[in-house]
Amino acid sequence: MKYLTLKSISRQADKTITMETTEKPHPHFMWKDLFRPGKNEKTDMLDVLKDNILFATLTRRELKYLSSLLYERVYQQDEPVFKQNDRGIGMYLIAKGRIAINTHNPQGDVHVTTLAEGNFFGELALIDPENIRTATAIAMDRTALIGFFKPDLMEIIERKPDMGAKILFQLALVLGRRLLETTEKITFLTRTKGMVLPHDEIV
Amino acid sequence: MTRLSDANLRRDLIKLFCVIASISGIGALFFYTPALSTPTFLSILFAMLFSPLVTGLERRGYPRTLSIIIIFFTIGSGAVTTGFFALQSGVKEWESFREDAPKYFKTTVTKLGQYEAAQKKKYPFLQSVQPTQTLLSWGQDTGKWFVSHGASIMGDLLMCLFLVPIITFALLSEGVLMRRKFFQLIPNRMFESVYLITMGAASAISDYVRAKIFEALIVGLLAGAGFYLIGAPYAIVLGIVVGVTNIIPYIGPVIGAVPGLAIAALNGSPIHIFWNMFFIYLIVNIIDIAVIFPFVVAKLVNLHPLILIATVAVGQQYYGLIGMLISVPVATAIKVTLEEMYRIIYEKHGTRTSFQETPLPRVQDHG
Repeated sequence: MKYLTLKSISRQADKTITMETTEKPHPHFMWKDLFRPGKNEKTDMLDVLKDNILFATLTRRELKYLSSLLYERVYQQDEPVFKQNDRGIGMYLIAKGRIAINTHNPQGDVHVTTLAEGNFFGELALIDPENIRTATAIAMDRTALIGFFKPDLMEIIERKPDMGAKILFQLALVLGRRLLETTEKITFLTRTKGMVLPHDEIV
Repeated sequence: MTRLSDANLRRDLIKLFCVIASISGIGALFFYTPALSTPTFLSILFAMLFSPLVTGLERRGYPRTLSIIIIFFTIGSGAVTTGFFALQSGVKEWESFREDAPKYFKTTVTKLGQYEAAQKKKYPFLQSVQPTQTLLSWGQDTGKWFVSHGASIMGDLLMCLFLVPIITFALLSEGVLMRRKFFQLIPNRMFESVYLITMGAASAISDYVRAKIFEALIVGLLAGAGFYLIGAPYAIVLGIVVGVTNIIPYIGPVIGAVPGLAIAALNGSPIHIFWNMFFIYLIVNIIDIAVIFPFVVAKLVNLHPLILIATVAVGQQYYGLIGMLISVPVATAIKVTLEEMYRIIYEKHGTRTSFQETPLPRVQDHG
């Protein structure tokens, strides 16, 4: 089994976002949903999946099986994928385009980050039983997303436990890495602001 | 920005209209074409039943199509073998029951007629009530219906035998693809909600169907074995009747008991056979209520008993026996849908302000 190092995860997560879009937005209509998309529209789902950290340890055959369970969705510019406090059902991989992650608080809207091709978001909904979105995701351009949802993950675990274990391990790796980064950021902020950490609360 | 969201809204509304029109059209086609809806309904039922078996084989590393073929082959050959050997006595019983049924009907009418005449002599105000005549008319109408519809019933059966395996195979192998195609049609703004509701409702229906069929199988086997042991007539056929009618909640066990007790009372069997059969019905239903239902079905159907009874009544009113059978899974699906919709609307207004609201278990510090 091929495991990815924390460095490579970090590299993927920190991918810089400097995409310029030249694509003209055009109406996305039903026949594109029902029938095979044209050459320009078609996303090679297997390539997108293969390059993603969550599915990097899967074999070609497993990736093919996975791709049969996933949902390809196209969003127009400024169209929300989900909103903060919505019930979440799973994660999205960005196949084409950019996504803005914003949060809303009493002080107003805060732009948290911009995600580009190859990034993913909403993965907490795959394991969080409360399934509440903690931020709003909005398409910045015409964006193609690949949705991977909790019932599909459960189906994989039930039908192909080996494959499910591989995905869960990678998911744990990503979440662990994000926890580590958050802890580092909190430590940095508390040091710079001269705050005292409530040590008992951090285990 | 406004123009764009207007364009999105227009596109989403057109998509939604097309989806609703397609679903309504397919629904109407199925409703008015029983030749299509009956095999499809049965196929969905079989697909739900076989799905865990296929998954079990897939877990052992077999490809899905091969798993389905193995299940079809095993069940098909098992059914043929059972039909030739083990069920021979059952078929004989059925033949005998079919031949004797008119005799039982005649005896019932004669006895009821004698009882009616005696009661009318005693209470003259009952003159206007004609139960014997009503029963006789019903029997004649039913007989005529079977004679006139016999050919079409056979045709439907043959059609089912041909179509059900094909549709079941397609549903098992292409079910995921069909699901994907359906969700592709849902507008983005409601995609997650529709996905959540659909998956919840589908899971509730398939769990219920599997649990109920398991329950019916156990109850049917227990009743059939009990009847066989006491030497009751038509033990196997009556066991099957008890199992099938058990699928109908609350009134099913009563409907299932009527043919057996009527036969025991009318075919001249010793009176102890009638009472033994009565106690077997009672014991089997107590086992069902106390053991099988609470552990297998109750967890899946969280509907109030009054709602359940009303649901079955509505199903019977509009679609007869089939309506009674499908009313509860449909009601369960509606309940799950409403619950999910409520959660979606309610939780939209809730906010997770702090992680301290959901305390995590503390981990001991070994460091």
